[in-house]
Amino acid sequence: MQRFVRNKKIEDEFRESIESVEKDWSIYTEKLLLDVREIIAQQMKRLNFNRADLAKLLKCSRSYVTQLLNGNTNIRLNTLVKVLLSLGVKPNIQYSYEDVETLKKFNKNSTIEMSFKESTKTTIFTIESKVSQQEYEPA
Amino acid sequence: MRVVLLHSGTRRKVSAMAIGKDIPIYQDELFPHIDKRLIQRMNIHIEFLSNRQFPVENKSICEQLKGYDNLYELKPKPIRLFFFMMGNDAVITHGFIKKKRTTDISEIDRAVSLRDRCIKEKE
Repeated sequence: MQRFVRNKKIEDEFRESIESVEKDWSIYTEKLLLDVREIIAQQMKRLNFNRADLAKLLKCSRSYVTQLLNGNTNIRLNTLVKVLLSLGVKPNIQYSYEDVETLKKFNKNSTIEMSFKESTKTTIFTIESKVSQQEYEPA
Repeated sequence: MRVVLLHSGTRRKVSAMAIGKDIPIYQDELFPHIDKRLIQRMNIHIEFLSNRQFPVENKSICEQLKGYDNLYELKPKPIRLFFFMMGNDAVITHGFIKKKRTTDISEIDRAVSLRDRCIKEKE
């Protein structure tokens, strides 16, 4: 098919534009939020929960739950852990030290060599649901 | 799952290519003034879709259009992207900025016609 064609000019332009934005922290929060929203919705379906049910568990209003699901709020760490635990998900955050340049900035005079040089992996943050499906299926 | 974008044949051209792990990066030529962050947000959503098995539970991220078979929409606000499934690939037809409360029927019609043409050509 002719339609699935690569366009190299636009490809280069976009690489440049994206590399310039990539260091912005807001992107990583958006990625995290997407994952969290999806995990909450998945687990709610597994447990046969309404939004009202979740609101009762968390002792908050129903509108707050919809805000959570639509991503309109900036979630605190406290509330995030509370929500995830009440749904039976154990939060687990992974870090990866990728940005070597910032480390070099603040460690200019030090003689310590960095053991972790540029890694090819691109793992950023992941929240894994460690709960098996059988344990938390609705009775 | 792979995410693919149609390259031409639309009035509003959307060009695409695969970088890295079959993740397309694209630009809608209708919106040259579009903010870089919006493009980045679209890419995040597409990356999200390509990393997951298809049925997405959260309807504020991705939803099937009511009354249409095999036509879905991705929702990186304020943009909407239509796509359909072809085997294991999710093929994105086009995107637009949603300003009204309801989606325009003309946009849906375009997506439907593109979907039908694409499936015919593949056969």
